[in-house]
Amino acid sequence: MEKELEHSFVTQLEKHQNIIHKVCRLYTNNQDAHNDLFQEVTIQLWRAFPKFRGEAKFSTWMYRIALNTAITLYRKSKRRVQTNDIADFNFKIKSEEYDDTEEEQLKLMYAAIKQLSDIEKALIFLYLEEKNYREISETMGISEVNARVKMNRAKGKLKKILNP
Amino acid sequence: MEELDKLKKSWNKNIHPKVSAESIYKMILKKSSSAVKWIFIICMIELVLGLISGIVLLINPKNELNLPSWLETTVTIAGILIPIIYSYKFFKNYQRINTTSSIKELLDNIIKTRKTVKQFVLINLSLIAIMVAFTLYYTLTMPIGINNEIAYPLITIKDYFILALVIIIFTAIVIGACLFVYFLLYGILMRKLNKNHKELKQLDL
Repeated sequence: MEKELEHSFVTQLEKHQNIIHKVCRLYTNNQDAHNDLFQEVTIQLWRAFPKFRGEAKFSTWMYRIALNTAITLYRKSKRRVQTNDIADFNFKIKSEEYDDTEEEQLKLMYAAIKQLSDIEKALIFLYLEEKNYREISETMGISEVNARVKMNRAKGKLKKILNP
Repeated sequence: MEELDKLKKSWNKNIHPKVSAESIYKMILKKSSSAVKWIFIICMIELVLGLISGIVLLINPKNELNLPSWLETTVTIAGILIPIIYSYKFFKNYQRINTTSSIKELLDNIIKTRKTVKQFVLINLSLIAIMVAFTLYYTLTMPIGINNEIAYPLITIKDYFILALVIIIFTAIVIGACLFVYFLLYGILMRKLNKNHKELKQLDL
């Protein structure tokens, strides 16, 4: 039973791992921290997995736990699984659309997002994931009105960082 | 915002080197290093220490301290009841901590759990301070019994004052050092949580 559960978890996580990577990219500044947060999110997901009933999509369920881990639970650890899987911290856009200027702009954008607070980063993350304001307010635990207000402030702050 | 919309377009095209199933299997065997785990461990230590001090108060006769019986009874009952009540409150709050909650709810629940134990520690420290004050008062003002005879200590008021001052300063230093380590420890663990909680709470104002 435990083996089946493990197998089901690992298979689904392997498939949807990009969500965790995206969260890690926003909340960490280097490869080690990225791997470390990835591991902590995986542990938290595994702990919560027995209660996952499949009512929500696996990916939706992952968003919450990944963000909650990054924002509240995460503390740096040295007990990280040594893996060479995540060898290159610099993301690349798919080759057919690869554009030097675009990538440079994206790098600047990521650098600007990293200057935001943890809460603002979560809002921007959910915006980039194309979540609507109802979903954003549910994930954040704030009203839709407040989510809109906070989102506009975060966008304004980003604009200021990018165009000082 | 143009730049953000550009990022939105490229957001899902980001390719990240995949973590293998084998590595994921290894990861789930690892222990968590989450702040909640550490808060839980520290809270448990505090509760256990509180319970032990309650039990010590219960089984240890305090007659030699010359304390009035009403004070002994109150302290003994408080020493047992307070840890039990707070242990119950702590576990009830701890059970509410759930990683699938909303961000605000999770932060609320962690902070509430932590506050329960903080209250417990402050009550315990207050009890210790009251005990020290009463013990000091009764030891210095009551006659002492030697071989069934009542004797009055042959020391002056000035000596009383110096002794009281030394005891108060010593107690304050010990409690102060404990509080310093305590708040430093929690300060490190709770800094991120408090900051994020404050930011979300400000939206409701």
